[in-house]
Amino acid sequence: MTYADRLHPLTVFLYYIAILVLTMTATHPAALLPLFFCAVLLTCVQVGMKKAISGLPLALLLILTVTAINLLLVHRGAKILFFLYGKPVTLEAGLAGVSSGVMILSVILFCACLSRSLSGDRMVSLIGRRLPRLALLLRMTLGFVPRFRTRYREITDARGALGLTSERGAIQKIRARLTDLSILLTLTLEEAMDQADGMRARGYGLPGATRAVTEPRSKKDAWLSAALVLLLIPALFPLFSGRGEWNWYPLDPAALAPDLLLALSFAAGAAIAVLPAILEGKETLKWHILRSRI
Amino acid sequence: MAYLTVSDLTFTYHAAKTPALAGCSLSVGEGEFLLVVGRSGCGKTTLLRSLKPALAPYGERTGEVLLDGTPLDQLTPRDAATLIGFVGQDPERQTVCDTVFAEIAFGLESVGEDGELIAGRVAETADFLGISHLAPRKISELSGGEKQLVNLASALALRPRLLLLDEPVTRLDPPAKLRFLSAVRRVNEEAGVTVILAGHDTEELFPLVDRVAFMDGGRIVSVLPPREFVKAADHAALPFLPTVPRVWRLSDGNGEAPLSVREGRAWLASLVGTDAATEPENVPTETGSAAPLLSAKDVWFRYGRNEPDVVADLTCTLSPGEILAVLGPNGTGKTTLIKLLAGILRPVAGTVRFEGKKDLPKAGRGGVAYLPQNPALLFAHDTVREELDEMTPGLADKEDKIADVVSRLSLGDLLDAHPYDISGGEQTRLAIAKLLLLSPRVLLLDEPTAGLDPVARGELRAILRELSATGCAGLIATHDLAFASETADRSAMFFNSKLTFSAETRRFFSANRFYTTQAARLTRDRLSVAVTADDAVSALKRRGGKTV
Amino acid sequence: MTSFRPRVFLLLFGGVLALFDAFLWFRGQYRLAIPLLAFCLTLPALIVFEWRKSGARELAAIAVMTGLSVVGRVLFAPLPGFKPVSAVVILTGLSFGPLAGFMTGAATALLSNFFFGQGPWTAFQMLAWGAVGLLAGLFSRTRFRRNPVLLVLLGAIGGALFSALTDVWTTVAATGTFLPAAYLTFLISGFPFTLLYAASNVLFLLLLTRPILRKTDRLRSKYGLFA
Repeated sequence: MTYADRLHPLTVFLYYIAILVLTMTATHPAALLPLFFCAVLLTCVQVGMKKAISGLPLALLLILTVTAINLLLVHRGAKILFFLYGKPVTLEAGLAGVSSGVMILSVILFCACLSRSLSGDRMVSLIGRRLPRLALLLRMTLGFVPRFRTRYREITDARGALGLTSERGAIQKIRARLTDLSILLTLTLEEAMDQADGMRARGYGLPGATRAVTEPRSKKDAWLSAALVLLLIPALFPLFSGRGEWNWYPLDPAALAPDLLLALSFAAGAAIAVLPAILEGKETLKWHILRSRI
Repeated sequence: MAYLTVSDLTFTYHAAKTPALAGCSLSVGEGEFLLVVGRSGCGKTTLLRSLKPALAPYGERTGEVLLDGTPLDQLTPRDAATLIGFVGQDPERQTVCDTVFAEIAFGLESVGEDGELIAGRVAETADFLGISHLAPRKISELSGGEKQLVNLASALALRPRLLLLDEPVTRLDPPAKLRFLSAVRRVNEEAGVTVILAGHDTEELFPLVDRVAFMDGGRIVSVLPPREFVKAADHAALPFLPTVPRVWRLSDGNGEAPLSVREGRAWLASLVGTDAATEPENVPTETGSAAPLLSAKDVWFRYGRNEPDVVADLTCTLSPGEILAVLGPNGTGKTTLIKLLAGILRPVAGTVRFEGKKDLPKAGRGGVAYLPQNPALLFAHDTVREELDEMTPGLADKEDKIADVVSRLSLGDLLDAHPYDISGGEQTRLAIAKLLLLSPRVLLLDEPTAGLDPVARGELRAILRELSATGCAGLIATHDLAFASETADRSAMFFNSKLTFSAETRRFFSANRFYTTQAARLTRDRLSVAVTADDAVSALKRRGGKTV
Repeated sequence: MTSFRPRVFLLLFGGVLALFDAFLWFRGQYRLAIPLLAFCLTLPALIVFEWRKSGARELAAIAVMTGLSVVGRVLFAPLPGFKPVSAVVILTGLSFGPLAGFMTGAATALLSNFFFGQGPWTAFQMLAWGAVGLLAGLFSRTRFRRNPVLLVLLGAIGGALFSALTDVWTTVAATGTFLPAAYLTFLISGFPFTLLYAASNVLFLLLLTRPILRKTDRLRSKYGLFA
């Protein structure tokens, strides 16, 4: 049980979308770094310290690759480190690369956390109210995926037991697999037609369809949504005003001068990002305590 | 005034030559429970679907259907959706949503009920059917029987006044079948819903229904209350009678027809007295005859290291020409056992030997052939002919062999049909024909009678007995006790991961009190125990009962 | 009223998103603006899909094809670049028309990334697979449907489109802006993979076209689908 499970999916989704927008538009290192730490913290809370550390090499590799790409491909900047094949390799490009790598890593981490907080089913139920047809398509497909796998197994078993999947050579093998696949498709399509009949029998396609209330909104949702809106106003201020826009080429030391307004808005952004980590962490701790009491 | 009137309904499927319904007429009263019986392909499904506008098949239609005085095609789409509920045969194929709650709510959402009201309706319906506890569960985790109850609930949530059930229990095992049918009975009796049910499960249904309709060749031949139906049953309708009335009809036929075992025992007592019990005839138990063809010794199996044992310390043998029935409810591991014997699964411990050799011969000619529960899994081609061709690559006497199985399984008329367009019974026959082309020594059949009508079951039994006479051994996993009692030499119950109480079939069913056939229940302590209807009839005749 | 709420919502949502995207563009926030643009480009098809009142059977058929390509992608996960997804999407287009092709492609990207990891790249994959399905769908009523030349062409275009669009994301993500020179470098260095995509598409198409089109044609005539 995670904290997000008890919230309305929309609340969870909006939080993550806000965080992702903030992360992807964060150019200023002072904005990006706190968000990055929040991403790492949230990942640690969600998957556990051990697993998070095991992903470290991959994360470093990602940052290094992105840095290398920038060093090799972007030749702008004043501080030239050395020349490679006649092209300048600059310090700015390197720093921009590190920053890009950190940003991409944060986005990947936040996305992974989002899919942990919001299962595919809940994501689909989220769009169900507004996009009923798309939601139904996705839900039906999600139903077919596991069925395909078990059905395929059954087919290969049954036909294999009759010696119909001959093992005489690559081409024969491929042909046998293709036959199995086409049986799978025929079977599932027929099944789908029955399923469609089941829907039609219950009035699917009539005008004026509604949705049952399945995910009631709680007081917590209201509080959290209000907090999100209040924090977003200052957090989005740099994006809309252009203040604090960071430029790597050329690097301007003046941009690093302390700015209270910017600091506040960055803090607001960080607050949004840290909230899921705090709430989930609290939940984990609570379960930990509960378990030790039982 | 009849609630539903069908007058002279004729229907021909798009591009079909003969009509599926040829002048059907029927009238059903408000609150009535009607059972429709008939061979597969006689038009039952077409008739039921023609009564529900959203499901009406494509094709040529003449005639009229009135629901409460309104022609069916003049109902508003909303009324057509809510007034008439429909549940089909396959529990797996009708659900759309991920959770039970969402599934039951689906229809209510489609017709635009208010969100708050939906939750109440779902709760009410689930409670009525006793499945409230399932509401938060995922559909994929439910058993077939539970799924079918959910399908019933989602049809009922719309508060239909007419409920159409097309072979709703053919895929369920006996306990699930009883649960579903008793739910339907309550819907009919307590909620006053008119019910039309098409199916072969007359054993359970005859005591419940008001009238029975017999269909043949796209026509409704007769519609009578069950007792009169039994009396009037002609040669074509006889196989559809439940065991007890069939025995009565074939032996005595006087007075009131008994429908249940209780009534049947009372009738027998009046006929032969209560103390006429005879010891079961001593059947010679032929054991240790030939060397076993297929044998499993101390076999253990589980699907994963931390999963429970599905098969534990199981030993069984199959001699040439012997047919063994493995009985037991769904989901206990019968299919796993068959897959182990077929060499599809490998035992975790123990051995499976074919003709004494440890390694099963490579699947194929002259070995072990396996018929899966869903025969359609084997069909890869566009015509029945190609399906048969596929089994005999490069055989010299190919044409002869195919012609032979075609005539033995009477597939002659179907050769150019698409394997998915033929009925369930025909599909089973085609699948068995495919197996036979491999000249197997052992046949492993998984629930071969699911979806077969009584006539097709009889045909299947004849085929199996014929094969056994040629030395081919068979193992049938089934929950169809009557079929096992009529077909198998030996029967065993799969229980607690092993075969318990394996005995010669007659002894098996006469020793069991509860897990036995209707015929055995009927004749216990009355006649020498007969485990099949035919035995009971011939025992009665021997005692001088009247013949028809 | 309830029936048109989804449509109004979709149009409003799409409009706001497009405006926001234009604003981001103007601000030079390409990292967000470009993936958002890709997402916005998938919206028209989604709107049409939601708008059309096609039946339950059509929906179920599309769901089956999507399921098949999702499973294909998952099953072939160990072989990088060798996936049947584009082939199945193209065949859906050829069988059921442009909209079905697009939806199968877009939904495959969206759903399979629940297994592979969601991210901004999802939008590009949705667009790439959706577009090739749509393109194939344009030929669904023509007699070239089974023409091997068309199949090879579609397979190659599918591979190229996938590379071209996913490399846009790689460029923007790595450099924070869209540098044509960097994009070109990515395209060139990724060329072997593009070839592999295209080759696997063509291979799968040549293998699958006959059986799959036979099934879908039968379905269409038996149940009157997409008539």
